[in-house]
Amino acid sequence: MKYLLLICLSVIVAFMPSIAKAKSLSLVQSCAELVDIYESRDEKKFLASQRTSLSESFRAGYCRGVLEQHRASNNRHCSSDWYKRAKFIAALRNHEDRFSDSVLLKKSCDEY
Amino acid sequence: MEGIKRFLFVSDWLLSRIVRKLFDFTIHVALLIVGFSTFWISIRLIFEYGEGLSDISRLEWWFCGLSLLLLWRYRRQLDETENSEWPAIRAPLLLAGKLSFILCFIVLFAFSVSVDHESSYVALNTFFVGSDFQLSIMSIVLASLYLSSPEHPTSQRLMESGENKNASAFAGAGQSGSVSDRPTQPEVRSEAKSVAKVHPNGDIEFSESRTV
Repeated sequence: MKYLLLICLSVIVAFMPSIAKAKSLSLVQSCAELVDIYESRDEKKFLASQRTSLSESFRAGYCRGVLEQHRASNNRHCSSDWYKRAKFIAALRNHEDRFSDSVLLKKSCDEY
Repeated sequence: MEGIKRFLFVSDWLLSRIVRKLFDFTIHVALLIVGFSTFWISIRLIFEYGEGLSDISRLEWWFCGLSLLLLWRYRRQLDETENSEWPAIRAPLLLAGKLSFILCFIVLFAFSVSVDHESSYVALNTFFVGSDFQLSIMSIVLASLYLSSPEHPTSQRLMESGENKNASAFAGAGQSGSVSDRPTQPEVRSEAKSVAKVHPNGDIEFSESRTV
């Protein structure tokens, strides 16, 4: 009975992603994940590959992609250091509801 | 007048004891709540996005394995000591609560001594959502599971027999002085001594005796 319960729990945990609803990704949260992986633009944190899960790395990649894309579409007047911009956006975690993604990207561009 | 003085003295004494008990109880409950929260946060941080196995990193797999191993070890130890359920649950929670308080103090102190207050605020803000915080929480959980081992039955028996030996030696010696300086006591002549007898149930009985 105990083992059956364990197997049921494992199955529930394993199939949870397929049950979960599709969610839109938060830019602030994604940039926080990106900053959590990197120490600086060119340096990863200690044991970053061991500490990062699939969903965290997916979000980090989303943030970096959005930053690169935004820079490319804005005549490259933003800083090329995506890490500083990601850190700026991640620091606005408590004010996430006040700004839209485009405003956040523009602000980070103006700042750096 | 003397009666009122006595009443005030006793009531003041009782009040201080009640306040002390309340204070101890509050600290105890606070530690239990913080300890429980630590365990709960450690699970929440693993499944932070609610995406099942995709949420678990390699380090978190190790943490889960080690936690299960330590829980199994703790369970084995409890089986041997025949502890009741509540102290068994309470011990790791209390330890986790204490360790969390220590972590909070260290973090707050580290960020408060920083020169640049604005950047330290941002760093503090990001620390509590970052993987460093998760690593600290996981360490606390593992440490509390490892360190909350109950007293080993053999050492418990040894301690009990040691206490009995001390008690019998203590019963023969004067009330004053520690066990180690008792051999010097017989030199005292014709002096009133209070002799203590320790009963098997742990009660200590003092009686006056005169040695010549």
